[in-house]
Amino acid sequence: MKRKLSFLLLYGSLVLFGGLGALLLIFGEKAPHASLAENRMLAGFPAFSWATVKDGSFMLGLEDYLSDAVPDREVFVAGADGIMDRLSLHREAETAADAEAELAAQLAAFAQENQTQDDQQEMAAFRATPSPVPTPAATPEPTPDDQSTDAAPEADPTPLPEKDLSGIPTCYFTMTQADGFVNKVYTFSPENIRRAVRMLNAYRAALPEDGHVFFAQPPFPGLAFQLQDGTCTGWGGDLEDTINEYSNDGVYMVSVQKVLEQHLLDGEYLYFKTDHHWTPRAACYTLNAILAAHGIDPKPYDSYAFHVNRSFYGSASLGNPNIRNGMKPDTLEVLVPDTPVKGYRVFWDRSEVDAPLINNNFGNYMVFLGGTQGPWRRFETGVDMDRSCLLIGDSFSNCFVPFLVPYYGTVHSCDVRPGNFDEVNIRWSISEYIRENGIDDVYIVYSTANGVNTVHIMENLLRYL
Amino acid sequence: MVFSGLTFLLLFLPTLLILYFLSRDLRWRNGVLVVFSLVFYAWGEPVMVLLLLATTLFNYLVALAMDRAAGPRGKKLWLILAVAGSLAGLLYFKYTGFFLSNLSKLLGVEIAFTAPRLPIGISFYTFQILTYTVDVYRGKTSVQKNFVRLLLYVSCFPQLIAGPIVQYGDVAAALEERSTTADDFIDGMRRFLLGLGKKVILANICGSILLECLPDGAAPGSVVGAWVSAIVYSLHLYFDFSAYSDMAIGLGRILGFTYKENFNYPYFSVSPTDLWRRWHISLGSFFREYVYFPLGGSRKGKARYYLNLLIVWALTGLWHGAAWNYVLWGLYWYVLQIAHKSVEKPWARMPLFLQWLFNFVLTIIGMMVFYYNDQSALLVHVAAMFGGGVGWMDEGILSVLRQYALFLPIACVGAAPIVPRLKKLAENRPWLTLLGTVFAVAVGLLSLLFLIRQSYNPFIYFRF
Repeated sequence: MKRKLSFLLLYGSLVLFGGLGALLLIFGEKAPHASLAENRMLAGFPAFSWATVKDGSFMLGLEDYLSDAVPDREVFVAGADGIMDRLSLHREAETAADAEAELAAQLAAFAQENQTQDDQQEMAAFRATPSPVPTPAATPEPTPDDQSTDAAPEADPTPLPEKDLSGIPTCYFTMTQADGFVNKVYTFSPENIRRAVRMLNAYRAALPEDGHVFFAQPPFPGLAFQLQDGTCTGWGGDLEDTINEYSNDGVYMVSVQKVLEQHLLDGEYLYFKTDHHWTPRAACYTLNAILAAHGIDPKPYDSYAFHVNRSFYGSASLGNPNIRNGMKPDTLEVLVPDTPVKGYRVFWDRSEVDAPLINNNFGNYMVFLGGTQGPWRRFETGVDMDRSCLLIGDSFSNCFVPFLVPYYGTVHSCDVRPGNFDEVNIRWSISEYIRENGIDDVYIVYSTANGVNTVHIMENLLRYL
Repeated sequence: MVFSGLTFLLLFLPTLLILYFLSRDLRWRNGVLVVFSLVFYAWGEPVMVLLLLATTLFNYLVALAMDRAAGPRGKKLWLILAVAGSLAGLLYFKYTGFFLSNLSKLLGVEIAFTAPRLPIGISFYTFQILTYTVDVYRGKTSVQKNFVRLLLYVSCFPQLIAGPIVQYGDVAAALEERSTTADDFIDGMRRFLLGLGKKVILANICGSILLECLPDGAAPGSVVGAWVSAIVYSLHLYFDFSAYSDMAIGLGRILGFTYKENFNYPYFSVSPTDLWRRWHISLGSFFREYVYFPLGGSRKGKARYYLNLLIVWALTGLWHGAAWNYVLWGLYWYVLQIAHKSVEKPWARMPLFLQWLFNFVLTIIGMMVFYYNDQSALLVHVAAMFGGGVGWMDEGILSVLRQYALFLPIACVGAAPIVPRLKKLAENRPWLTLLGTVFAVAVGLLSLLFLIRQSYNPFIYFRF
């Protein structure tokens, strides 16, 4: 009896596999479609021809299709994620609530164990609910040889009057398919847009009168490739125009889609194939579009000198040489600055270590800045300029930083994602850092995965200000 | 195609089994299996399947000619032709680029050569077909006159692209007569599902942890970091490869073939010699039977014995890949085997735990030799394992240990010989066997869930 049960169970699992396969082949969604939950396009049924069979793209496409066409895929993904969470297999806090809870616990422990009563009050202020107007945050711990604190202006950034944000509409990131259908890939709710506008206004208020806040949200490669493989003929959206309309003067969000669209359609190499980042060329085009929009004559990409690495394998190869089988390497163009740039990593105790802008010890994307290293980075560009800028961004911004060199005397950077800003030891706010270092412009570059719809990052940007 | 892909699980396997078991006649079953095996191979290598067919046909014809040849001299000539012809393909696709690039460096001249794409599993099927031809020459097996049967032996999909290396003699009888009982189906399916879980859950997660330990090829930041990353990589490699063998053995069982075990809990071995009786057993058997013994083994004096071992280990290293780290890895094991032989008696007198511990440390270092393409990075890592230039602990690895505090012990238990003990316990306890089935089905479904979440799952040993 028990043997029969064993047989039936195993036979049943095989029938389940086969049944699911047959269902997917017959009833699965054959056209590519967007998943808002996963922020990506789900695969459609691959084109079948001798050419696609010969180059293997049909086989790879079928594998993607079977995975993506599963009905209620989000439920399966959530189920797998739930199991991984139970086994603590998710690396970072992935929801805003998790991040908040983690941060609150760290701050509480920090306050109880290490700080004086005054410090605890400051930390309490720091923990306060973010408001549209920047809140004075933790005061830097003065050190005997620290002159910069005294030199910093005493007044808090004066908030500028805010426009009426109640009319902000829902916005979309769109992809125009080959048949003309406009697919709404991402939806940006009025609430998320309001949060982003308030954050950008707050940064603008923290800057000098002639300062600017520039915001860019680069899309991920999966979408860009659809412009190059003929699936889509264009991309766009109304988020950038809406943010520019509702934010204060001095705030500008560039439409990365508009900047890159024609270049992608022309087949330019703007995203890596083995890595999830954009190429330096795409970063340069985006910066140049920002500068051109503000009356600055930008330096064309091809006028820079580059060191070229033609054997770069990126994150899609998982960094493990054992599973690069069959993947062609990417080409990585690494900018060679015209001036001798000195780079430093700056810690909360104001100590510094050398950390170059271009770290040639790495043969991959980490060549830019040697990867994200918190809490702060500073680059003395060697360019005779008074202006300084601060770039806040995720890893997409790392290859953006070198292109800022010709335009600023000093470039600073940081990343407010959990784990990159060392929240436990935090000593001063971003607005204080801006004042102390005489920063004129702020660039915020977060990819779509960490952008306007990523609530905890938008909140962190405001909270740490 | 890979066993841990949805195409295989949802489409290929169910369709094959339906058609296979609907065919009552063995000739039809063999036909179905050959067609599906060629589709399985062509799925990843649509053009290179022709090379597989050509290699098989070549050996088929040569073996027939060898069988008809009068006298040992004629047979030997045919054998030389078969070995040279079979190895020519392997040498061209796998080693020409490596040889020419080194020659180019040595001579200081540029030699233009574009290395061809390596056909998947070429090392495995070349060795398999050679066992047939050599065994026919030795008279250990009779010549196979039916080409479809020989093609089935070479191309049979469970072991086609990542082993185990099945010697012709092990399946010759099954090619002509075999059946599948209910017990075969139960055991085979259970083994397959557990292997699937081993790959999709244990191996893949170990791979992710390794990336966190050594992000983008960075050097370890502390002694603990160096050891943890080395152990995680060792577990990753073991789970990945042994999972494939488990699935191959399980599928073979369902189809009526009995393949020999390829792994026997190698991380619980107590000496380098013991390790190689437990790790990739089929490769060790091949080199012993078809290289070491023909060279004279240990019967021709000490110097020749050391030379024979050196040849075997250099070839073992090179078999894994055309790169210096694999040669170094082979030589590392050669030195360890020789060293172990010279201290065999005092080694055996040590407490068993110490024997295991020393061997484990040596094994882990060996895995690092295998991992690093860059020898200077290898030296940095090994130095870090013993405190060279790093502190005891770094924040990154502490965070990894905290994060995977639950998973890492589970993975270590997964590499321990628990299943054989449970099997023994389950003898005469049918409810325990049923429980094992329920567990295997649960693992299979969990694997399916994980596969839907993330679908790119290549096996490390494919490239060999």
